[in-house]
Amino acid sequence: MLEFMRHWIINIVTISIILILFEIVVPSGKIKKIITLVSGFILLIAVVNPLIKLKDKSFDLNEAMLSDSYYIDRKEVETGSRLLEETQARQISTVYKRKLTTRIEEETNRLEGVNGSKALVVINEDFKSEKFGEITKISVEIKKAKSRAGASKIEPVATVERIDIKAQSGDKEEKGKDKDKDNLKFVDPEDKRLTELVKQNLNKSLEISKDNIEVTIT
Amino acid sequence: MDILQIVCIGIVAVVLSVTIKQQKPEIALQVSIATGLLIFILIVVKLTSVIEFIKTFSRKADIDAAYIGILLKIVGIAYIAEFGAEVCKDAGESSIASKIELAGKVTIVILAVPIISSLLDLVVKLMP
Repeated sequence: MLEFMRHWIINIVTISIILILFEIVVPSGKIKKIITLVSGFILLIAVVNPLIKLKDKSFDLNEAMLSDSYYIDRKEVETGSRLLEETQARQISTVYKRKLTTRIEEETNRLEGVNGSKALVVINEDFKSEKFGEITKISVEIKKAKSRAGASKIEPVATVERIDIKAQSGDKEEKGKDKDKDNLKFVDPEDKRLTELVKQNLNKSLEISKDNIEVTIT
Repeated sequence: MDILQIVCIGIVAVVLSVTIKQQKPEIALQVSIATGLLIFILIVVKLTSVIEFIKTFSRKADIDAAYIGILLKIVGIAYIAEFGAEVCKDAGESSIASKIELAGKVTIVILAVPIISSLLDLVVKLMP
């Protein structure tokens, strides 16, 4: 017991001297307060530790400190790898979108009657989901080529359907009016053909539903 | 006589810096950083012997090496952080200096976490 007490006291005194030396050496700035706190903790451990060893011989301070350090390091690595994964997924989706846009534009430009195009692709960017990278929407803006020289000078004439003037009831008259309005709304058959062609082409090459493809012709 | 050398280096650097500051303030800053580094290196070499002494002292007294290791790391971090912060303050960037100090504090606290948790463990074990 006397030997234990002797060892304990020497330990405390030595650690106190070392801590004082450290405090002298430490630069006098704002960090000094924290260093004093940590050195106080160390002194406290040095005072309490032999008592614990006397009571429970299996307790190893080094082991406890190592396990704590390991836990902190593991958490740090986990956070770092998660961040890395997210950055990687974001980069992949950016490159994928760019390549897809280029491909769609090239394919559309190759079609007959197209002078130039601009594509916008929307994909599923949630890298945790199983459908990551799935194309949700494609918008294509097409610049129509002039078909023949001089053809553009001819103004297209709106198609007029036969109007039934014998309609008697009010409902029928209204319906007739709506129908007339629809008939007067002009749709260029060339635009319709081009839109259908682009949709069909993208549907075939990218296997995306025609409803998710939006075509604008300018 | 090392202290004479260090003080001379410091005074020469200050005179140079003050003279140059009027014409070229950016070079004055470089002079101050270079002088700081030079003095820091000179002191660190001396510090090695103090650390060696402390290590031997602790080994003789049979003190756990883990304490000394952590303390040395903390002192090293404090020196580096303070040095960086002082350089930034000299350049007039006190906001960056305070950020460096904050980084130093956080790093020290991270190093101290195992010590704090061990202390808590000890206290829990001491309870009946």
